Amino acid sequence: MAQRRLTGLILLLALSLSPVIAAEPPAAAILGTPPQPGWSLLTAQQKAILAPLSASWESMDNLRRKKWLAIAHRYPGLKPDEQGRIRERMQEWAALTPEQRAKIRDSYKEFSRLPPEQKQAVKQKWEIYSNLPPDERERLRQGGKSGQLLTSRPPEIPGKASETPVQAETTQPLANKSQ
Amino acid sequence: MNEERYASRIRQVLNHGLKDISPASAKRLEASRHLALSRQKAPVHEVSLATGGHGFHLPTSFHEARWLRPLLAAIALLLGMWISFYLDANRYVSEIEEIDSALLADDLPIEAFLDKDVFQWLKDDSPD
Repeated sequence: MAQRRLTGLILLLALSLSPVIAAEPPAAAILGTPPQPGWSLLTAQQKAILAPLSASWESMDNLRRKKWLAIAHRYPGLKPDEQGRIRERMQEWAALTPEQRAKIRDSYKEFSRLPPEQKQAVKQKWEIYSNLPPDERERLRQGGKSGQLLTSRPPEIPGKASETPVQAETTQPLANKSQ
Repeated sequence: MNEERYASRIRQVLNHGLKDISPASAKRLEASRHLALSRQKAPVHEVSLATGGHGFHLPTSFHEARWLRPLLAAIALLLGMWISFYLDANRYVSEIEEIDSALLADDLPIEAFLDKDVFQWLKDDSPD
């Protein structure tokens, strides 16, 4: 009887440890990660690669440390431009909330499954979109499909935006929207 | 069951005819009794360790060690759970590391994926 109760209790504990919030790592993964080395115990190569994270390393949980150590292990095999981008983005990435990281990962997984030509189109559209002022971005998104970014070139100089066809087409909806 | 009945019958016969048994038969019976006793299960002993005046008893029979079974089962279960957690953690870290290193190294910046609605809008290549 006591054995049954004990087994039931342990099974209940195991079930309660299953992942509940997608943004957070599963409890089982947290419990199953052994302690990871502190900053002073890293090798010189790991320190050099993970230097942007040196200030936040000690406050990181074991799971994140393990992940970054795995990235550091992969790092030497990457192309120089990829290495540069990883180092540039390390701090920015580490500063995001778990929810933001989860969202980005979800979108990136979708992006990585796209055919190469569609990936290229997304990159081109982003290049144009990201250079627009915030109100212009909003107008374009309200105005229609993102394909217009490639067909009718938006303004290169934000100050002269109203001279372009895209701006002219979207002026009216913005006026309506502000009412 | 038959054996018990047979033994009971022998006992009755022996009780009634004890005086009539010849010395040779009595000797053979005695020898048989000794043989039977020697084949009986040995009594259970406990091993005691003297620990500063307090006896520490180790159970030596399986019957006495029955309380150990649930304990060993619980330890085995916990160990199994931890191994499962460890494998889960490795799988999770490996999956996350693969995505993170790819997206951090990609020429499309992180911001492009931060707003899911924007990303879906950019991704949509259907005609107007």
